[in-house]
Amino acid sequence: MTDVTVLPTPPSPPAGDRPWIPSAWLALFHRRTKMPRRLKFTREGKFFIGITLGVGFAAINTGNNLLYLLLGMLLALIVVSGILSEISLQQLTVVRKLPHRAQVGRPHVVEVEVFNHKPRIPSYAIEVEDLRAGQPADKRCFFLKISPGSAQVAAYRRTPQKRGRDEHIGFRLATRFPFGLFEKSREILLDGSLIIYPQTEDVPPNAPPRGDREGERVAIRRGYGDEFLALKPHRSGEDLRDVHWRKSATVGQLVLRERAEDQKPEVRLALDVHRPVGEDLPNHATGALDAALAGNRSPSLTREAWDAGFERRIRDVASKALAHVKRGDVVVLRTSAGESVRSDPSVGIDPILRFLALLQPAGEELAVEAKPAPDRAAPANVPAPTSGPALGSPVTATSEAG
Amino acid sequence: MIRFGLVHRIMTDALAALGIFAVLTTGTLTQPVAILALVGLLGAILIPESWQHKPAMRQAATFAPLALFVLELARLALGLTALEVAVEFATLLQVVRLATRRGAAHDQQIVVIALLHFVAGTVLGGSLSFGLCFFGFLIVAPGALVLSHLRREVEGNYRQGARDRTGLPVDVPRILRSRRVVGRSFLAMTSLLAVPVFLFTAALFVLFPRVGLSLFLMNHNRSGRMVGFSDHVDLGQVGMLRSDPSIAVRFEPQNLPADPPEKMILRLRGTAFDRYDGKAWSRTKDERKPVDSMLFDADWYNLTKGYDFSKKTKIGFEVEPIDPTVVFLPPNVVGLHLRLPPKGILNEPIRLERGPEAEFRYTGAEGHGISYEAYVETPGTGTGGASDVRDVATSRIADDVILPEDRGRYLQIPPVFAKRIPELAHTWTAGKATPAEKALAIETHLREDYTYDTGSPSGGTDEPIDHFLFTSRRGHCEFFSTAMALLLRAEGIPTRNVTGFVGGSFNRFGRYYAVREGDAHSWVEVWIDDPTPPPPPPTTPPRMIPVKRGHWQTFDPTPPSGAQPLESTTGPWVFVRDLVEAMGQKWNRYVVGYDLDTQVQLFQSARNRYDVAREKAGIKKGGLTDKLTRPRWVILAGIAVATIAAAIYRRRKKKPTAPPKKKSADEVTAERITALYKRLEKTLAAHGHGRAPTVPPLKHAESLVASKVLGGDDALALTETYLAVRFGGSPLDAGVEAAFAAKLTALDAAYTAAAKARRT
Repeated sequence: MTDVTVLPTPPSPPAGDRPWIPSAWLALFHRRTKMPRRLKFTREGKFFIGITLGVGFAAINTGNNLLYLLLGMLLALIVVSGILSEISLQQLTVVRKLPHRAQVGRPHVVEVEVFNHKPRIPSYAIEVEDLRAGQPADKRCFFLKISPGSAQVAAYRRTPQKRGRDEHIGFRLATRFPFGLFEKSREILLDGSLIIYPQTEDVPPNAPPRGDREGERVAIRRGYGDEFLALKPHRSGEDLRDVHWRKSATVGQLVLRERAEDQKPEVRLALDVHRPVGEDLPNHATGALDAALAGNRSPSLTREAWDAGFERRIRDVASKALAHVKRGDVVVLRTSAGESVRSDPSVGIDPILRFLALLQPAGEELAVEAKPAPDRAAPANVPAPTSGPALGSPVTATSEAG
Repeated sequence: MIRFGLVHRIMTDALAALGIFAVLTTGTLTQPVAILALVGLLGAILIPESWQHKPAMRQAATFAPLALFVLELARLALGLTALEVAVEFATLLQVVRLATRRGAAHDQQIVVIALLHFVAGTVLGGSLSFGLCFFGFLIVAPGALVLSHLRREVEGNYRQGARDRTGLPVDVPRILRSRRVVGRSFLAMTSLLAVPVFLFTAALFVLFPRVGLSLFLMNHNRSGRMVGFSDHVDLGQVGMLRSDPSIAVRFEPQNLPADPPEKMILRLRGTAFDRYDGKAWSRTKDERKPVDSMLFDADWYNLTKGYDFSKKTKIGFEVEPIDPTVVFLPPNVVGLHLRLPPKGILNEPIRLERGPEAEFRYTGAEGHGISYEAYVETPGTGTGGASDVRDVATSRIADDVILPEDRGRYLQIPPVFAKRIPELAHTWTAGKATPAEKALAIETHLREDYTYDTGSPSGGTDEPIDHFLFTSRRGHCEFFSTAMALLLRAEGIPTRNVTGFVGGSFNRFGRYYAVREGDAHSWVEVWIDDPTPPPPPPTTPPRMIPVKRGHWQTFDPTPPSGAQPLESTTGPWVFVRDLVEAMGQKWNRYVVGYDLDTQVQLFQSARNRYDVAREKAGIKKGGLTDKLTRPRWVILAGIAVATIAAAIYRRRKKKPTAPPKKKSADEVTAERITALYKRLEKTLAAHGHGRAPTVPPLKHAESLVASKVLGGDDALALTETYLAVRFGGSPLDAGVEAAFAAKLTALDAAYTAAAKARRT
């Protein structure tokens, strides 16, 4: 039951809509012309510059040589500040260690390790911002001192608010060392990707199967489960521990208990991913959130409301799938676009959560970003859970002084 | 190793103390406030850090600045100047902040206030003591600023609920107690920062062009000290200046020998008085007129008419800030050249004025000292180093004559005048015919029969001179000069009482002679009529054509022991004093007095030296070598060489230039497999799976496999190959190398494809 469907790649825009300068060229131009360092005044720096300008103005207008002396000292401090901050930022490499999994609403820890390759000079007051594509840099790690030839590890805690793929694009290394007058920074490109699973809630699983119902079936096959299926004559090589001794004594030959397969119920979950198109789905709000949450399609539904309902449905499906896998069921999730994914206790909930993390509404130009895993196999790049289906155990932000 | 918090506290305290000292050197604060500030500073430094978290101290931190502000407003209302109030407030605010500081924010405030103190010290002061404070500031400031910034970073970053790797909150006090953050090398580095800061400051100071708007000049006394020079002579009050060692005037005679005498006594005439009221001398006239400068240069003044003084002997003078702004003149002076500081557009020009009794003053630089060169006609007179100051000099100042209607002023005697004084004059001058002989006789009597004593009881009597001449027979110089003047006036000889300085002790470090306040002196000028005066034409008004029918001659009746400089010239104290005074002079001359002229001279001097060096090198003018070695080309070449050197240094830094040793086969294999592994690392890092430097390669690869990262298995296989070749002795033949490279290329392609898929 590996009916995975990958939607075709969206066609290229017509020639008339293409920009006259390719974006790759613009990116190259941006990279070539970007300043290697950025300088920003701190509050104290602005004050200091103000004093320096004032002293300079007074020196020129009064001819007071001591003011020239003071001006020289202030300018010297600025120059020294620039040199020391440059030394502090030089020869640093940064490595990011992302967690194996992350989930909306649950904090996870990202470790950042900075190595100072300078043989003799320590780096002081280094601030590392982890840059993510399209998101503001809100998380940073501070390193008071990184000794020469050694590394320091710090970590930050982040609680994702949105499922999907978190693209880490690099780091911004900044320092206000030595005097706190300016913040000098440089950027280091280092890709990294973290899939944010959808949020799950504690919901009860559906009732255990009582025969065939819609969406459930029970099949009895030979196997190695706990239940007995039938008796049969023993054949050479079969496990003697399954011999039914009383019946064997009765019939005068070894009779073996035949076991039934340990059959777990396969729970099928469905998810509607088709978004209405055209005039049925205006962009402005019409207050139809309740309808969206109920999963109904209504001509008056707004795009925002439908998206909110879509996310809610994903959350519900993820929660339900988790509950079933916890109970030991095999779960098959099928979308209205035809994709499906399967999880069972042996591989954990990750295939379904990963699939749901990357799922996009269908119906317009949207498609599932990544191919779901085939049945009974974990998809590539998604690690199997190592200890049960619990996701992202609570972690603490770590931050260490140098 | 030292605790971070302690070092920070010490450095901040030092910076704050230097700032307060810089303010104190300005002399703006009154003595009680200055003492209060110093005591408060000491107390604030000694307050234990633990007290700063007590509730009382917290309340004090909030309310004390407000209370201080209100107090200063009240003092302003009571009549203090705004400047005094502002300086007081800034000083005491620093003391309050030091005592009640809590945390990095307060420490930064202390640093800022210290910086403002230095700005104030620069504007209001500027003496050598300020220079020493500034030097200390240069040393301490980088370290204090660095530590202050680090502490602020620590508190700002770690006090926001951050936790360490164990899950516990970061303990900021523990970091402040840490001995690992700040070590000896850190302190040495921050202290050594003073060197580049100092060099840059000095370079900028020298090179910054001294041209500007100069809308106004700071008209403030830089040293905070004024030389006391009385505008009148009161016998009951003066006399105690003999113990003041402060420098009043420095002079540098031209062409000093290599081993100059330790003392060179120079009589510096300041002002003169014509009226004596029985206890004090004053002037009858006080009209002052600007002195016309010479046509070709406004700074040159010809004090005599008809002299070409440009070829006379020159003596350079530096007068400390003085009140009144008297210009002291050596004997036989014929001309002056004022060394004027830069003039502000809105400031009054510095001019020379002539007052009564041939007194000269300068205007436009009140509160400042003045430098000038005096040209004297007979260098031997009064500057020969004689131990006897009884040099007889005549005034050569133009128009310094007695008009007939003014003669009475110089013969005036006080209303209460004992009869025995004229009788004594007659007795002493018996048999003397000319005024000069009479003056000499009186001078001799006074010098030989009376004793110099600064504690004479005569000053407190109703008739000091009578008491001095007939009862105590001892007194200071003013008693002697007054007595001689009155005795001569009793004989009908016009006299006037002159005050000034007599002294000059050599400073070996500054190579100048110092005249101190203790060298203040008083003597007499006697009008000696010309024995053959040409009668003026009867039709010519005497005022229109003043005819000199005599001259003023100097007589000094004070015994030599009282007119000599009292300061010793040897000993360790003198050594230290001379050193400090010379430094003060250099500071004032080369730092405070550095101006455009000096700057141009400096550059010109450097250029001249360079030209001399070129001549010595035998470079002929007009040739190619001459053109190529012109300063502009040399500077450009220097810049080019420096740039090329920097580029070469960077290249050499990246590539060691040591000749490559012949490598063994194992080394070559190790290099090749390491290069391949580095390519693998680069590929992994480019796609977000970089290896931390602290993680071994195998562990890193295993973690990639455990994380089921795309290509993790391949990375592990390649890593194992690398380790087997690099450390396990496996051979690296072309097949293994090619397979490694091919797998690497495939891995890179897989990553690229995955990234492209993600983007689409």
